[in-house]
Amino acid sequence: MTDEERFTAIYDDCRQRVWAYVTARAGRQVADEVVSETFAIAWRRFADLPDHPLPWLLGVARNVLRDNIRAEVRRDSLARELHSWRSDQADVAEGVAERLAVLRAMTALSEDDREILILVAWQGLTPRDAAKVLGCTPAAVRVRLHRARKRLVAAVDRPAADGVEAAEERWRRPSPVPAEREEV
Amino acid sequence: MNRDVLHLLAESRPAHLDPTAPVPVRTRQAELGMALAGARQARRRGLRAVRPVWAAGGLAGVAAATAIALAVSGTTPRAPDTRTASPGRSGEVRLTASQVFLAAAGSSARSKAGSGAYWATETESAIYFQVGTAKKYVVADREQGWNSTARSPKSTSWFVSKSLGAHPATPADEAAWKADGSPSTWQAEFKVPARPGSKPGAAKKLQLTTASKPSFGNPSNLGPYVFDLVGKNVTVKEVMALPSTEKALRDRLLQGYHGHDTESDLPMARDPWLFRVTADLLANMPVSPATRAAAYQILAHINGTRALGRITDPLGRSGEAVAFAESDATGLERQIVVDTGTGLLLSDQEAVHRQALNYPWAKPGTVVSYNAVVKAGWTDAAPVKPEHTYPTRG
Repeated sequence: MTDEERFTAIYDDCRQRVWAYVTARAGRQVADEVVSETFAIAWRRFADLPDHPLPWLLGVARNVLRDNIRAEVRRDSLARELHSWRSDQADVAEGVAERLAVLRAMTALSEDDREILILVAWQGLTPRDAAKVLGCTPAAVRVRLHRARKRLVAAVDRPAADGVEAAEERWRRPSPVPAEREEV
Repeated sequence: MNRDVLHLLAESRPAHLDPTAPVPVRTRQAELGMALAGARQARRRGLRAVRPVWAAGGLAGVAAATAIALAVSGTTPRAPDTRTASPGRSGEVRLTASQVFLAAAGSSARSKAGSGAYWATETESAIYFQVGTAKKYVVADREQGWNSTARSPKSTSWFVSKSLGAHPATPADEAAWKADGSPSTWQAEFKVPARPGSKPGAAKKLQLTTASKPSFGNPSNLGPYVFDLVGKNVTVKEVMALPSTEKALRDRLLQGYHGHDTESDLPMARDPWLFRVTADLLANMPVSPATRAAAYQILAHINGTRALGRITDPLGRSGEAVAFAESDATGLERQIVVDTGTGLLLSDQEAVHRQALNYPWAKPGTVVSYNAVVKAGWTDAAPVKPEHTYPTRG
């Protein structure tokens, strides 16, 4: 198998995961550009790609998102994405109200809380893999996850307490800068 | 709530964020191509904001094109005297844009569906750049493409592309190039218009060379899926079963319209969108004669088209050209050239409409990029394979 074939296989395995991660964090308007750049970097750095490449790719995408996308573009794109989470669920299947409530609660969380929940609940990453994405220790991931989960529960339990405006205000607020992984 | 909140959250994930969803075929082609092709594809990428070359080409690289080149003097297709449209010969009746498309619809309806194991297309495309130090002149950076789309979902489809290098566009440009010392490489700049995520006005530097390169390519099917039709991956069978009446086909295509461009989230009005996807379908896909006819009828009934008369394309073929101003943002208009006698879409190109961002040197009407269908049809011949699966890394 040539490098190109291996790379293509990795792309096929991981591309949509990376796209879903970026879209959940910053919206569709910027996702294609970030994903495309991520895989361009991945090919240039193919020799560095680990055997289990997904966390590495998500980490690169995270850095591309931070460094290449202007803040206001990202904010607008994310606003549309979160708006779709609040309004896209029109059907009436069993449990929908509950799912809608938890999705709405997600939109009310801080960027950091939402990110860890996206990685664990939506991407299905282990704390160990999530730690690779975030550039921290698995222990730090567990702490972060524990707190994010508590705040999610709180947001589900009292959705009317502050309403959508306050929620929007909260996710617009810059979150504290976490320890970043090495530049890739 | 606390007990199962992560589980519940996992179940609440919006459908579009499913990480196991398949990659859209065209996106895959474009992204893999960009990643693997390195510098060469950086150029395409720069162009993407203006008009993705793979939108028409992409998977099938086929869109036709024809620069409305060669006015009447069509000596050699490679060195047109001018790249602006010329009026038809005097005394000839000029068809309106609708008449052009309805004539093509009639010819399409009378044509026969082909047979063969592969839908094979060969294309030639070019982008024009102004270069030069002492003296400015224009070069055409050309590329050849082959797409073999397997009829059977079990066979492999192939996408192959070969850069032919950049060369002076006209005899006058050639003279200026010689006066400039006949350089074999140039650095061209390409400004990317402001779009989500890019800094406005940032110029991408592109390296052009006179040298051609070995072809590269790769299997282009994703399982049975071989085309991207209005945002969804489709099989050959689905393409061949598309509606055969104008209204049904329009409705089917418009299912994929969500208010934005086919390749990005830039807003795009309905008619320009419909024009683009319909032309794309005509240029690329092995649709039935009835569907082809319906597609031309859709084009005939879109407002805002303008007939340019009978012109000769860069491949030396005669056809009727129709222009459509897609948007004011780029200052470019889309032109397609049709052989009304056969119903074949010969060419798909961009020309300067008003002042265009990257073409201050070009007068209105000047074609600045084209994608011409050299041939398209069903065949039992083996697919064209690349010399390299991918270009050498570097």
